[in-house]
Amino acid sequence: MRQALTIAARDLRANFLTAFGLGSTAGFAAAAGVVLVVVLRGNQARLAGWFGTLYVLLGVLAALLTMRSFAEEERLGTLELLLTSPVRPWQVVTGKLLGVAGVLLVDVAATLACPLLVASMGHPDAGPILTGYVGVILVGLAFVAVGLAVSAATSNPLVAAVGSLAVLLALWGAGIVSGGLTGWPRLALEELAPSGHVVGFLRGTLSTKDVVYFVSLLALGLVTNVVVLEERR
Amino acid sequence: MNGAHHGVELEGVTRRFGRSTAVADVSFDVRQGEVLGLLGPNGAGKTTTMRMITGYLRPTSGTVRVNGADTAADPVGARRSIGYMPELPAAPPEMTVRSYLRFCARLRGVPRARLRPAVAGALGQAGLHDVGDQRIGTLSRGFRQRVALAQALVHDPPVLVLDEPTSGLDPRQVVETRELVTKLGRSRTVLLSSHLLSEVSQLCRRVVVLDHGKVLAVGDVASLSGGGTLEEAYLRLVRD
Repeated sequence: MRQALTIAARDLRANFLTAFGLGSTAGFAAAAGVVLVVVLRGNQARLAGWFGTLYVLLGVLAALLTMRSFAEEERLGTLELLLTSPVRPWQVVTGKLLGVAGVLLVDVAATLACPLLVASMGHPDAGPILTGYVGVILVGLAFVAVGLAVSAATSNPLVAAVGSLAVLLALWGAGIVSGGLTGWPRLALEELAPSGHVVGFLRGTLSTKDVVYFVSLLALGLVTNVVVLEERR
Repeated sequence: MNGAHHGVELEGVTRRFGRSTAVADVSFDVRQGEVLGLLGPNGAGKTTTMRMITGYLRPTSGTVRVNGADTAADPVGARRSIGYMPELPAAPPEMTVRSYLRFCARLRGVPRARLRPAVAGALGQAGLHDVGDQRIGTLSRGFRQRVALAQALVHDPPVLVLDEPTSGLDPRQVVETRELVTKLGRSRTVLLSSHLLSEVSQLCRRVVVLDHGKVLAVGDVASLSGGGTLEEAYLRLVRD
């Protein structure tokens, strides 16, 4: 675990030492603010629309942050030293996940200003805000795991970012396509898409099924990541 | 395993990339406490061979043992013994030299209490004391090359794998690096690749000549040269 934490700490620090890292944090916070302004035009102290959009923005953020984790390191040549160090692949993957998760936590913490602002103006229901943030963490980690797996498969950061976005969009799109289907294909696609699993968070309910979905996506992403790293040797 | 071998052994190592064969049935060993030169023209398979020793690449077939550990059965154990300087001196540009070396030392399991002396030692050996607190991105190519050497030494490994350690350096730095390699070779097993014959004949007693992924010759510099220069012997080998 020490090695994983070493990798995580390095990546976390590097993120806030680079213009790109600082820019992505500022960009995410600004986008969250803009979305809040749009959502509050309805003159209701409800944040479901805000959280819903935040989940989509998390996909973009995850794609941008994870493109540096492996693809950028390979482009720079530093991945070679990481992978020839006496570190197991799962330690590398855990370290990379924790590093991006740390950045994500900072970025998400910056958005706390939004619900606080709403609370100062009206009386929003605390339940959906709480579950909304549980959703942010779960969705964020799962999307990061997907992004990491894609990032490990290429040495081009741009390809990594676009690839991660494509995978996440395809997952999200499964929910849209399911609307036009009937029977078991519809059910299957609905279960496959993250969009259906965030509805509970927005309503203020926390169901085991939704939590299991995002934890499974996270686990699948990490396992794929380890396999990709080993296969490229 | 034949007794206590603490160097590097390659047995029938082959590596294919798709249909092309980069390294074909290569066998040689680097004995404990020697500096062995891996010599060959560009594209001979030197880097691929080194990458299989360091575990960055897996052999398609054959076995590699480092300090007695099989790189397939015990990859982490094998990598623990190695300090590796890749061909291109890559290091995160935003980190300072000191923090990067500290990161490398931690990653390779140097105990917390030993971190400070380990980093100081590597800085000293590579002649980096004056730039320890500078960001790597601001350093010249020569200094970045030294950072790459320092990270290979920071965990005090018994085996060093150096891929073209003097390429891109100015003449004075080349001399300094060669002196350092000679010094390191007294207490460690060193595998060094180069396409410079003069360098290899100066630093190594034994050489392996690679071409088109195959071993053309293994032996003492003196016996390979056969009275003439290593250059003549080498050109004869590569031409045949």
